[in-house]
Amino acid sequence: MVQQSNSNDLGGAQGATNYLRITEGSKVKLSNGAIAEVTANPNDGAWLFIRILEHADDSSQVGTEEMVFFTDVEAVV
Amino acid sequence: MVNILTSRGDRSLRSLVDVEKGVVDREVYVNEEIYKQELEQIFARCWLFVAHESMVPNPGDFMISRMGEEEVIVTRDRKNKELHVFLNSCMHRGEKVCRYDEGNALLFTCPFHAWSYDTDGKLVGVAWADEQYGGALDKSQWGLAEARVCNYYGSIWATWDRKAPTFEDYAGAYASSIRHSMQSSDGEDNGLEFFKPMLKWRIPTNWKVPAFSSSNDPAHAAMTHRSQFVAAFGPQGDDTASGGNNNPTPRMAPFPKERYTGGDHNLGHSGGYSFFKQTGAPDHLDTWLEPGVDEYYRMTAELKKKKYEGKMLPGLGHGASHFVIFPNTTIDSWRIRPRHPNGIGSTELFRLFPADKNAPKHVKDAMRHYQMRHTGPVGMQESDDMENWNYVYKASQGTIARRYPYNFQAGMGQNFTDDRLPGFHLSLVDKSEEGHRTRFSRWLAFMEAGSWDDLYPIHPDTTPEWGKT
Repeated sequence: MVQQSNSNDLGGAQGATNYLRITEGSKVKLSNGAIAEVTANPNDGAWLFIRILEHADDSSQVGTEEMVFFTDVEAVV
Repeated sequence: MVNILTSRGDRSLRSLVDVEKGVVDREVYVNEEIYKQELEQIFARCWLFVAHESMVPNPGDFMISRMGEEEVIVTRDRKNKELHVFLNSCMHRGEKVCRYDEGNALLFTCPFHAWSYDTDGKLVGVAWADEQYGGALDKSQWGLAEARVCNYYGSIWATWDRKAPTFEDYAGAYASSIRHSMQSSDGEDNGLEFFKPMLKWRIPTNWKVPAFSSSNDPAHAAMTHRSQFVAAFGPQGDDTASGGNNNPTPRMAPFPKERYTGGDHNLGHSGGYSFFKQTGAPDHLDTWLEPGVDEYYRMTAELKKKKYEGKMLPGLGHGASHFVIFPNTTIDSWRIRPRHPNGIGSTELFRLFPADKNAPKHVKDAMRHYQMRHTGPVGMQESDDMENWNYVYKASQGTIARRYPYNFQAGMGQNFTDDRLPGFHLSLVDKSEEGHRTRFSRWLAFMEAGSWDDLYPIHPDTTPEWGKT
């Protein structure tokens, strides 16, 4: 049986490929619990440009734009 | 750091290069210490041609080029659309941050530790920055090493040396020739676009063999390119009408001019030079084999004639002749040819070819096809030249060979100066090697100079009146 791949899964070898393919507008969950929108993907397998949408621990972060490294991105939501 | 030579054994560099006698020791071409000194004293200081603006037209566009032995990234940054030239080496631990010849990017990300740079060279991404550096890493101090850049009518030049003069001062009288060479065939500034990718290949010879010994070398064409002329493969077929240069630029009907070879020993630039004897611009000469191409160039020739009513054409570029900008780039109206050192016995050649940016497709295609069969690694002309370039070096390396100097004496003692071109030595001899001697004069000056303070100023009035912008 062929296992269907989950394009939101960022784990393992397929996860690295999925990370490369995350599109602008996608939402991601960060390792600190925040939810962010992807504003650009440089397609380098390392970074994403994001805008914080929700941050349970620090609401002042909402709206900030930054770059996030792949080790700090848990999943596409 | 290079141990700078002013002498070698019991001989100074001045005894290796004797411009007054027209002899150059082969040691200059085959000695490893001298080569390393060239990288430090010449390529780390001069203005070097890197690209044309049409090759990076959009924000985020990049391409790889060379400055000396080193790879550089030419970019147009995303925010301000300005051109930059960066050393292609991560400031963390040296890995290449760009490993594609050209493209469009948001970031240049190092594959080693993911240090990432914006298209303006700023360091913007360091993984675990707070954790690793305790917030102490000042990213603003660790951007990519950036060269000074000049966009001169579309041609992009760069230098690593902050003390170098402006590019326009560096080019002197040739500045107007470069501008003219960047015009389309109807005389419009910035009128060209360059085909991508450029041609690149390596040959087993010292960079000065193509750049110094063979550039603006009028005596070699008859023998080296004899078969090419006999084959008459160019668009111009029988090329005798325009002087036998196999030049595909819009062929000009004969136009009154005095044509000389020469150069400025204080700048190092050299080449053919034409003093046109009447104002205006010449008619186009119908010679293209492809249908519809002559019609286009007849039209643009008429437009150029209108622009030059009452004005003299510049002495170089667009059919007047090719010229060499010290140290390593030859410019014609239809090609730019940088030669990059790639080790003492290896040279990487670039070939960049333009067409009028507003020309119709069939004209651009005709120009591109001609350029590919004429120039480049499989072009007929440069296949002829490579026979010389490759074997000159090989035959000059041996113990016995190195005892004998090269002869660059053609045209010696038969020069004149002309108030129309202050600072130049022009030769009365058609097949003179004055251009070669010019380049060696400047080579010696750079090799001995402690800095640009020893190399500058140039003649105060080098640029002719009609060349001043």
